[in-house]
Amino acid sequence: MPQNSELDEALKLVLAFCTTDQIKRILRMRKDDDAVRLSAENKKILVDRNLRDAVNGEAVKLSEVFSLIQNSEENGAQHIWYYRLKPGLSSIITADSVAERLWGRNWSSTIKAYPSLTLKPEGYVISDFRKSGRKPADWYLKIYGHTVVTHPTGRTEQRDDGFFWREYKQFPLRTVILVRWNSPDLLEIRVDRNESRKRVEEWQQIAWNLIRPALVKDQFRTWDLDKAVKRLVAECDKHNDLYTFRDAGVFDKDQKVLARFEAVQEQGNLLQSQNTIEAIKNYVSEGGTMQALAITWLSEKTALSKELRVLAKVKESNEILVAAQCTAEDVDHVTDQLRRFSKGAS
Amino acid sequence: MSQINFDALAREHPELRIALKRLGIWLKEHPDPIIIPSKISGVEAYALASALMLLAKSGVLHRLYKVKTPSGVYADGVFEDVSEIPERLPDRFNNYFDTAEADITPVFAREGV
Repeated sequence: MPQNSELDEALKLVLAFCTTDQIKRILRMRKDDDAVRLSAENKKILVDRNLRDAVNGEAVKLSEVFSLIQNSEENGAQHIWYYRLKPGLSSIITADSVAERLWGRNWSSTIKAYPSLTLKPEGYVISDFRKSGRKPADWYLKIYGHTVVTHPTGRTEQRDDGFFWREYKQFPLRTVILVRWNSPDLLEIRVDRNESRKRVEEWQQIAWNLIRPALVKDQFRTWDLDKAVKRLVAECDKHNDLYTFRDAGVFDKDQKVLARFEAVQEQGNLLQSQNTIEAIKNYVSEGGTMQALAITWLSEKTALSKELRVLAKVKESNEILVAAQCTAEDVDHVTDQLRRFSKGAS
Repeated sequence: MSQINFDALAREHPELRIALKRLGIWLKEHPDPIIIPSKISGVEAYALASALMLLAKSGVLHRLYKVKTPSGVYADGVFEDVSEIPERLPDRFNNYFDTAEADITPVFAREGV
């Protein structure tokens, strides 16, 4: 039986990051065990009672709960920056060589303690390093961050002396930063979605700082998604079972005009408006640049577990935003498609 | 959402018979999980609002809220209650805006959504 504090911490994360469906899926796999019950009045009870009983009753292993957390907190609802390794540096990027430069010769004993759920108060700490189970040359390095955020409550109090007092609230913010080597060529830096652009960029910088003993930014070049995005636009009629667009921003060739197109409905599709798609194609074919493109990757005829919306070229040319939480395979599907469309026309 | 529900409701509320009938047809023709009242045409506004509220009261639909971005399109997400709407939400290009300044639209979801 796991230690209570470890289980308590893990269950808190399950409640925060995992969907009810994901939790039920793990319970359903062991539904014949007496310690497992599936129905619960709400998600909190599903986690605090059903999942806790299942772990304490040894129907579900704590390692399975960790996997559930990993899959949820590492994939989706995040910004991803892509970097390509410069030629001739492939020997520095293997998991073993990265680990040795981070932790020295005895790195294997260090990573045995992972994954860790412990946060460093108001700091950042490496909490996991592992090779991918699906692609042996790939690896993941996870960083947990803890910070205190100050936010106005909206309340103000007028004082007689001409001053007024504005109330602020401080609350803890837990964050997950993931560095992922996606062989054969891409390093991904993933950080949580957040309303503060400054914070999001800081988190990316923290990732680079923490991996500095092993890898530095100069060893990579940014992977510009412009080519992939332009080809997605140019070939949208050919691939209507693969993706659609909901929103698009496009500069004219002199970057003097920015045109933005948005489907009114949340589930809208720009491809249903022939005028719109022709306008975007015209901008691009006449030398314009896509500023951002909200791509809806379709699941019906693809490997995706569900439809997934991704904003490509969010602020930087090598940056995407995966809107919702999803599986590791879903994020890889998106990356693989971007790789595919960054090559020559089909 | 069966025809029986609509027929029974129309018998109980004859003043909304036409609105309920048209609404029933519209819902069959539009399988969207979220129903935005302004998209439903051919029904007088007051009757439509009353019919939707009746369906919500009967448990056929439930009322939710959506937020419009400053450019006038719908932001991602639906909210069970106005109080659940965060102070700031991202627009379609991930620029956050204050929801206190935004239009909030009641919408309806089919039960189970």
